Amino acid sequence: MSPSEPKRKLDDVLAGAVNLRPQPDFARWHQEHPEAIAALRALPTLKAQRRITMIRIVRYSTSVAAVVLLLAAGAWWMLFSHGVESSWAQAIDQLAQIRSAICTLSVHRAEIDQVQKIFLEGARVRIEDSHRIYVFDFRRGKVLLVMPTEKTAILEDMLKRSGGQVILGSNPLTDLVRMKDASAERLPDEKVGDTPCQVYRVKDTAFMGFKVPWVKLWLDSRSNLPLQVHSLMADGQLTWTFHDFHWNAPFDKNLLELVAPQGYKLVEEDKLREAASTATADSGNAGVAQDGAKAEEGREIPGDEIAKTLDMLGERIEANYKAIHTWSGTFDLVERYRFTNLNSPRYESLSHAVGAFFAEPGRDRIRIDYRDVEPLRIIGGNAKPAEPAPQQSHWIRTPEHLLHVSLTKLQHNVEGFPRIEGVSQPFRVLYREPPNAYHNCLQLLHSNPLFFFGDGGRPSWDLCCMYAGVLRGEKGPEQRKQAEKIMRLRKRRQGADTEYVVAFLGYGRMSHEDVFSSAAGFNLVSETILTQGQPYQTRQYTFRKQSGVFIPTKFEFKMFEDRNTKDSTPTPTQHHVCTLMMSQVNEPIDPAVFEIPSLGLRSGDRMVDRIENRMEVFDGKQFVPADKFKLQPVAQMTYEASQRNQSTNNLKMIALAILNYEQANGAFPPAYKADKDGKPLLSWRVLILPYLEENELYTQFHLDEPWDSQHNKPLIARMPQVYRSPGSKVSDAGKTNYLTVRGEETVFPANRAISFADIRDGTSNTIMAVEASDDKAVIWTKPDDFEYGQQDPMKGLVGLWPDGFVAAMADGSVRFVWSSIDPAVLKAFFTRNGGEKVGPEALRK
Amino acid sequence: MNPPTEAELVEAARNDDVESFGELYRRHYVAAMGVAYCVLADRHLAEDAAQEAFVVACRELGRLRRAECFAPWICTIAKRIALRMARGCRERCALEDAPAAAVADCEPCPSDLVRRAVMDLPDRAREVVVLHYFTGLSHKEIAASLGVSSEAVHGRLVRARRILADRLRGDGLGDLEL
Repeated sequence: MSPSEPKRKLDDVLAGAVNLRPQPDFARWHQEHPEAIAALRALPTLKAQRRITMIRIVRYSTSVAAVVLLLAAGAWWMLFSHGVESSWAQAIDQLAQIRSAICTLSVHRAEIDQVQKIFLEGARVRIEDSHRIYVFDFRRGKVLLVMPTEKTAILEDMLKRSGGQVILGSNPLTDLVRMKDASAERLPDEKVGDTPCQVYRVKDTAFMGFKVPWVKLWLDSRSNLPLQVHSLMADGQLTWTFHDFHWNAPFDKNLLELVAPQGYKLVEEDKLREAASTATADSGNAGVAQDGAKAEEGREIPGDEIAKTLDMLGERIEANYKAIHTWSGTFDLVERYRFTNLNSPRYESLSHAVGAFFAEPGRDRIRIDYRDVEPLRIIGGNAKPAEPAPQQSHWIRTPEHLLHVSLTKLQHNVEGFPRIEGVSQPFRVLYREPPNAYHNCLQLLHSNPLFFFGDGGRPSWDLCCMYAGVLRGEKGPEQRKQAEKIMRLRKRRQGADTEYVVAFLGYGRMSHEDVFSSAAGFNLVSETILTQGQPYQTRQYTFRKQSGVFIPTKFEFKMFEDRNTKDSTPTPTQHHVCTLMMSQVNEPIDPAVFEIPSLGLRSGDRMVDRIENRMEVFDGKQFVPADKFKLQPVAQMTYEASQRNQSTNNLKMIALAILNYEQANGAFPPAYKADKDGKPLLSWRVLILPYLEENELYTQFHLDEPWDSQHNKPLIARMPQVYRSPGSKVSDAGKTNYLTVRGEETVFPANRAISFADIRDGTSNTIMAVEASDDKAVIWTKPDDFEYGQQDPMKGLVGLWPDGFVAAMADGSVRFVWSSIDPAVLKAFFTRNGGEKVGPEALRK
Repeated sequence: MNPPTEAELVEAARNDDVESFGELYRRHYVAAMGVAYCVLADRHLAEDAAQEAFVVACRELGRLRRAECFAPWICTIAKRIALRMARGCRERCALEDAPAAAVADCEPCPSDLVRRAVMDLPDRAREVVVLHYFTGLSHKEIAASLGVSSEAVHGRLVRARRILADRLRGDGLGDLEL
């Protein structure tokens, strides 16, 4: 056994003991954790204000409820601190003793956690969450909403804001007093976390300002403080968890004033509401003006006829859609995004795609081919351009599955496939997924032609039916009541055509208007969402009659910054325009376009089958399991890959030996050992022998003699295994392919030793040693190394492997450098202090 | 063209760009899993912890003040989750020690010895060894994930290798054919 073996084995053994190299599968994670993505979307961005009325009311109610619960908690605390036997009614009676309070609590609703801090005194309450501050004055019936990100404060009337549904007394205690009269039912004890709790349920009570069927409370059995509360609201159950009670604690009472903080603009909600209503009406007229004629205001349809009219619209739209048996054509899509993050400079991106589509709505199948997709262009800011987009991609959706194939020239290592080192053949990858993955994809495919028939993948007849259903009370009495308050339907003339305008007016700061036009077969032609009278989102659909049916020809979507003032002209943050051309309706479509062979796959292309959860490879005729395929045409590649792996290990050990030398001696080894006159004697490969566990061989050398002296020359035959390159044909002659990069600017400047501090380009950006071709191989003890040419720095390196070479970086990592790398970039990696801005990722090119 | 930086991805994710969060996931999943493995010593549990860490990250991304520090942040989350899971495991396993003792009588295989040796390392050394050898991250990637310098990673790795070499020699692994 050679003395160098134990240390080499340490690396092998460590690397082989556990393999933790998973392929991150974001798509699957996304599918398995929808709540996480919901939470991400719920982060306090500008989009937070997109929520519609009910959610706003519930949020508001949540805050009120928190106050109510806080007071209830106080009641229990007061009760038990005085050692009185507990009962529901007695606890309520203690409320009068509470003057002020500070409390922190967690609110959990719709899978989203939020922490709120509450300050309370009498009928005035301040609630702070992560992005909003509410100050309620129950005596005056006003609420001040402070929005720090927008530097705006809005003063609102509580009763109006809640749509008149909140039952307000002189202060929040009223609700609790009402609760006292309700019956409290004791339920079996439960645990909240590790804390045992008594559980009560109060039925049919006024809670959070609303009538609710029940409220469930968990009281800590030891302290009798409420730990958790559940209730049923319009959009699901709510959970509160209380922490840190401080009753009757002093705090700055200015926090409870209905005054905008310094530097904030104060806006009165009533004026905003008027502006929103007016602007919606204006925009509704202008948004669909196609022939220049001014639309008349129209007749408002009475409330009891709205549902019936919506049903009629739904039936007409559905009839038109169902008359389309086949539909194909081409599209042209431009998407422009404007990023307006508050903390970073603004920048814009622009992308352009063209393609073709084939759809059979009746059979629920569609194919979309994206062609010549231009890479994303980034304009402005300090943003760096993104990776080039795929040149082509295909999507086929049938009731059985969703297929999408990306024709990007992927290198090896497709996610989920066994890693094959060194294989550089480009593969195309086909993904097979459940058909319900379609809606996720829709978010990426704004140009989906079926998208044109409605918002967000929901067909517009379904939208009509949903509106009608709400009005008929199918979604519950609360929603019905709310809808009746805010929903209006107008019928108006637009030239020779009839339009139906469904409007949701004056809920919170938002207004919404949908226009259905007879000119488009009663399809949805315009959607407008306004916030404070300013456009927030607009969608415009243009239809044309062809072969007896109405089909879309153009779709334009705009989304604007959410702003609270009318100070400046709104600019869209997103702007998509998709034009459909060459449409053919009810012409036969070859069924083969919906089949896999039509995707033009080649042997070696791969499929990630997320339905069967397996990887397959196309062998030219069909897909076969990936492991079986690997044994056949890839066998040669696998052999080559294993050799390259061995070579990588050798170079890694050499690099570690160099770094160990540096740690022991305070400097890297010099490129060679020289005599007093500077004449080279022995290579660095001899100097690092002790760090390769070759100390015995090292001591054999006469370090003051040249490599070919009578004593040293016979030692050439004892070249350590680590210097033998597995692909080399000259190693038997004592030659090694592992060379350092020699040069004044490199890590090995002749007879001078450098330290880490001299590698100013960064250790991971500087190549220390390489595996050269056989032509450049040298006697391992001879002080010769690789010197790169200025014109062609790659010359002499590629040879052992067809597509590149293996290199060790100065941080000890080993990377494969593709022969396609830019020579200037390669030179930058060779120099240690050239100051070039390259990163390790540049080696992947 | 250079790929987007961490900070840009974090900002985009905060602005509802799920694909940017996906890119963060792809970049840091392995490191998060490696850090969790250091605590749990079980691949499947470590994967669970890493996935859970990204769920928490989704929820808490708004609180990350320095967007460029996403890597150490997610690794810290993964570590905390792993510690919590480990506590739960210990409580469960306390009742199931008897059959484990019977298994312990068998001759351990070399990879078990190595794994045990690595798990017995001090915390800091264990992290770099697991991340470098088991997950295959480079010094720089480890440095970014742990929020330390590359030099510190290198130093820890050198020290860890020495400890491991001594320990494995003592376990008789130096004489085994691997």
